Amino acid sequence: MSDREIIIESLAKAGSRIRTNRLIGRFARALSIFIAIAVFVTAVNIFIPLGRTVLGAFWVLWLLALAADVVRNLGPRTGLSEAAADVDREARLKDEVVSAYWFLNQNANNPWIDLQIRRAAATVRGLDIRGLYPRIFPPASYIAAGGLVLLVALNFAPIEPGAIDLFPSAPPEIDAPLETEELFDEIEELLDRAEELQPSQSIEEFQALLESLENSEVALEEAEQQMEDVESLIDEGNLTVAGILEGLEEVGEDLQQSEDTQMAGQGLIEGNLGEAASELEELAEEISAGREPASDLDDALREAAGNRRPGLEELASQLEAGAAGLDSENLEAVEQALVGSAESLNQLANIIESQRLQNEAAARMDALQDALREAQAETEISEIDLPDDLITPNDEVQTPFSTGEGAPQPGEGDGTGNEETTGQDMSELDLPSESGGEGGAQAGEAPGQNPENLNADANGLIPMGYGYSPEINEGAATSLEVQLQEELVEVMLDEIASETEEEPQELSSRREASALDYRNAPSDLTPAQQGLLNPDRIPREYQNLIKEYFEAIRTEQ
Amino acid sequence: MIVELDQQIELFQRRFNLVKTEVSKVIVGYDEIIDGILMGLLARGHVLLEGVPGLGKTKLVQTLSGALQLRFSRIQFTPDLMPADITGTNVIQQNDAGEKLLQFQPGPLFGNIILADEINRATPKTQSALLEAMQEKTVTVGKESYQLELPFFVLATQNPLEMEGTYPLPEAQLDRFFMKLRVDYPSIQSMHIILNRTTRTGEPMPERVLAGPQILEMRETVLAVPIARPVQEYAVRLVLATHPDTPEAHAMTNQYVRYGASPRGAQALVLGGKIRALLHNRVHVSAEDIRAITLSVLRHRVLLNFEGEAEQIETDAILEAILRDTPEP
Repeated sequence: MSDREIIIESLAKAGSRIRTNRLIGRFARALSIFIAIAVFVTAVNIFIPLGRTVLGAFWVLWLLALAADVVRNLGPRTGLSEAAADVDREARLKDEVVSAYWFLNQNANNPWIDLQIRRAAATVRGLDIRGLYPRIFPPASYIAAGGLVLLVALNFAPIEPGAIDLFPSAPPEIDAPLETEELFDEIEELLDRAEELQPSQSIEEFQALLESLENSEVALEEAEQQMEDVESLIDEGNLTVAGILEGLEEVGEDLQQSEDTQMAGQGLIEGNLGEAASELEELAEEISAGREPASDLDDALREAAGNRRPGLEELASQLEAGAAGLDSENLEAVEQALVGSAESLNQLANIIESQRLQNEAAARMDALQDALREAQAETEISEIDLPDDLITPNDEVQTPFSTGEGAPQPGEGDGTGNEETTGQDMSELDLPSESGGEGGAQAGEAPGQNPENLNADANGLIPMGYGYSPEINEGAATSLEVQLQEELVEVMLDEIASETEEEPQELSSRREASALDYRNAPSDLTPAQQGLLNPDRIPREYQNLIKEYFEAIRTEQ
Repeated sequence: MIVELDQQIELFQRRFNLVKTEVSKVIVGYDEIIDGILMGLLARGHVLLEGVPGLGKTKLVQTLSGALQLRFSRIQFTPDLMPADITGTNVIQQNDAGEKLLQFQPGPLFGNIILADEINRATPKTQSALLEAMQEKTVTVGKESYQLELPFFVLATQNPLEMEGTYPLPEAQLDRFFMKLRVDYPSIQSMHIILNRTTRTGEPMPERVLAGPQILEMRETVLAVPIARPVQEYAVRLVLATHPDTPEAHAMTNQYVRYGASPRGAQALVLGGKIRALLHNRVHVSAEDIRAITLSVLRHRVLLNFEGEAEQIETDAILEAILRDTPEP
């Protein structure tokens, strides 16, 4: 082997090892940085769920950047001149190999150069290239390895995204499924129609809440709480409407006493206010045309005007004016009074229809909340790939009978009825078999339960309000949820038992306030009317189902 | 052939060491100075020694001449020294026929080793009289040019410029010095040895161990040593870094330097590097050889600007910065 070959071969070997070591160092450095970024993002995902889209995009970018960095670092092979300089530096040869390699490339015929090359070849032959460039894993490689272990641990550890919530108060972004979009539209339409007929505060608040929920400006739980307030306003409207209906029935009976207003009275009794208004208008036209009113019309009008219930003041005034006109034989005044009465009836019809539409909208709202909650529950239980945004941080699995905030409890009512079953031991809880709000107050008094949430509690299965009767949904409260509920109920019972021993003063005050509620005042209403005024949150068709459920999960003593 | 070259290198080293040993018999503690002077001699250059009076500069040169079988001349530069006093002049002489002729009378410059003692005490006019001799190795008087005998080696000493009665050397003359060596105070140990040698009887005297032809032979050996382009480029980059307002200029150069080193500086670096390589038994010049002599070779070739003078910047500081920032091959 010539001196030239010795030098070139040694330089090639050194160049290869230099390149390998350099690549190891570069890759280790780059990998440590990339893994650190990945660990950071994974850790952030534990605190703040980033969503599958963001995570997917990140991993794609991460891989692309890593690949690009690898390609960039591969670079050209180490040149022999570069290797010569490095060998000189590492072996402290004082540029002997650099000079020799340069002289080799010059092909100069000079004895001094030959001597230099010979000496350099001898020096290179004595070098241990492997010893000069040992395979050393740089510190960055250990950092990369540690980061990799951490990354694997973070990805395979049973930590759900968002398990640690840094911003518990932040409202989640709800990505509503398609069916909920339809519900949103339906509720909006109902509220628009109700507002067109008769604007009210309850409609305004309802619309605002709906908009917040639709724009994900409010969490589902918070929306349920706000819905409680809206439903209270709607319930008050229902009370008023019930009074109006009752009053109109009495007015109808009074008007039937006269031949002229018999049809109008019949219409009021049947609840057909439009027909009654038309009859009165026809009567006014006939009187205007010169027909003599019946002799008993003034008595009928006067008796009817005696029904001055809330909401009927205007109608009573008009009827009173009509009776007065008949007494004074002022037929023009009679005609105006009858027209005014018809207008009052039309206005009352609008109020009643508006209230009906609100009740329907409230029922749809319950259905909407159910749909959103069920979507969450299904996602968390079956780990079906739903949009992560639908899952709120810190949420527990909320089945229709879960004990989480706003969850339905046995015997819970809406707090607005004649709740009489107070202070009942939860272990003895049973649902009332009759309507009328029996046992409804328990929810308001159960320790740790918020009576304001009662409507929302029932929302899991039972739409509220009259005029709306969706199909029974029995699927949610079976199998796994039932078993989980058993455990939760046990815990809950323990808590309740301990808290019942030292009944909070606030709870006593609340019960006292409930007893003094104006709605518990003696009434001469018929049972049907009472039922209308005190709508049970648990319709009859669900009561047996719920009763069976709690019997099924009852713990054996 | 290669064996002969090995022997030639060995002979070079032996001769160099012989002279050094002889000089070291008299001169104590100035190994680097002696090496520098001998490098200048072998590189066909001249050496400027700078130091305060009394440090043995003159003694060193006298000792060196004593170790070499060469003609030695000493010129004591004074303010009233005239160029003709050192170059020689034509004098009127009468021949046997009674005719009067102008005949050239050589001055002290006609020697092999010239000691220009306290060169900066003479006026620039007289100092410049050395220029032709140092560069061309000739002396021109009137219409006649006289070739100086080789080897021709000027060893000049100067006192620091801040001393009274001194004149700064012209830039052109400074550039002709291969090296400028600074003679510092000897160490305690060296002082003891100096005292022991000079305050007793039997003061050591150097033997003449090297003649002119041998020196010329050594010079040829130096020139034969090859230098690779990467190392030569390093020397070039060092020199270019002293040139202000050029792409290669160092930041300190741009700030403090008026004129940088000339190509003579690069020549000196390479020649000095070759000598140093031979002395270290190498037949190639390394960047380390260049770096080792950079200060001595370039310090007098870098001229400071007003700002550099005002801030009393040392040219050595600039060169050290350049050495620090210039990458080696």
